[in-house]
Amino acid sequence: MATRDEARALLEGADSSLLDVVDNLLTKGVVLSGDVMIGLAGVDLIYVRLSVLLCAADRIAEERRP
Amino acid sequence: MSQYVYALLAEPPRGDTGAGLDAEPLRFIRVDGVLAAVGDMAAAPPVTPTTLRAHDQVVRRLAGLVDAILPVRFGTLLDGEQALADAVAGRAAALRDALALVAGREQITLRVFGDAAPVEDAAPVARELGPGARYLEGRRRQTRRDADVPELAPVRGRLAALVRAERAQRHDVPPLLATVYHLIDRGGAAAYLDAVTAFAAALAPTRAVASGPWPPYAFAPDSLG
Amino acid sequence: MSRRDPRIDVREIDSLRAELERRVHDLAPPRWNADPEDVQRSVARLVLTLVEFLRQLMERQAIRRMEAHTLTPDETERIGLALMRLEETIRDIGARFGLAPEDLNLDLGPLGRLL
Repeated sequence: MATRDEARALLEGADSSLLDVVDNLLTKGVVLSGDVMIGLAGVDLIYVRLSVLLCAADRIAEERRP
Repeated sequence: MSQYVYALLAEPPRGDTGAGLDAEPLRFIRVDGVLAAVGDMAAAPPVTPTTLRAHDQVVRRLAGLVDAILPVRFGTLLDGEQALADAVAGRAAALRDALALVAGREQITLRVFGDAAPVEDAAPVARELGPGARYLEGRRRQTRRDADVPELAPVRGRLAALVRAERAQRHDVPPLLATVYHLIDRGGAAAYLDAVTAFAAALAPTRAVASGPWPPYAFAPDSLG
Repeated sequence: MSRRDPRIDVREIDSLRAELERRVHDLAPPRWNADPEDVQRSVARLVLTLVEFLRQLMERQAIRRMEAHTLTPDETERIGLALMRLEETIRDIGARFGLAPEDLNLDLGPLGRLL
């Protein structure tokens, strides 16, 4: 699995065109899922994959109106 | 088997879409008024220059076959079509609005380098506001400042005719002042880049460096609203 | 195809690289692990980070609605007061555990980078 060192290695060798690709692909674009790894004492125990994100309350009300 | 999501579209692509970044066939799943372009994969690809560029190429190829495309963030892997439906649930209106915004358009990334402009004094907050409203107004002004690029003011007029929408963020890493993402009509990149070259002298000592055109990565809707 | 200023200098690329490093510092899923030496502080940090994350989302939404004029003046005042008090509370509780605002690391992966 990718680590902080790999992220740094990716960016350290990057020319300006790769930096733009990184900016677009890793910090922009539609976000549909998020992950979190939870553990104790340095041991990963639970991996949570979130594919439902937060939504504005007034939008939900709008879409539910008949 | 999971689904790796490349982009959201308004309509099916017209023509040969080619394969995904793992040479997998591309599929198109309709969910809540948008079409998701996906490839079946067991695991998310590692993050490398090769996979990043390959993902961008897939998105570019799709962009050439449709009018409106919203690129999805790299590494988005969902377990099944229900997960995709859940992820899009409640955001259909925002996604449709974003697709309408980016239809027939593409992105230029403009990086602004130099020294920060001095912060101007703002008009005082209306005195009849209570403490809560004052606080919120203060936060609103700070939020606006975080997306404001006054250093570009001398040359905005020259770009105005070409820019359909803008997203901007200030940075804290000199000499990088800010990044401005401009949405322009497809085919307008040459005129935009010429304008940037032409205004370099007027902008100096601030420098602006443009790259693109890109698919409209920066014009995806935010997670809220 | 892309065209860019051939004179982009090293300092400019370095600053862009540093900015991206701040935003993309970890490609793996974000981890939360309780430090066994100080479980209380670890838990406090996780809880306050999540609350701060929600506070920022709520603030952003409140500002949006304020600008769209879909809040009454009374609602604006009440939400503003609540957010102000929430910000103070997070700071105060954090201080009790020796946590500065910068320690409330908001990088919850893609969720965090939305802000």
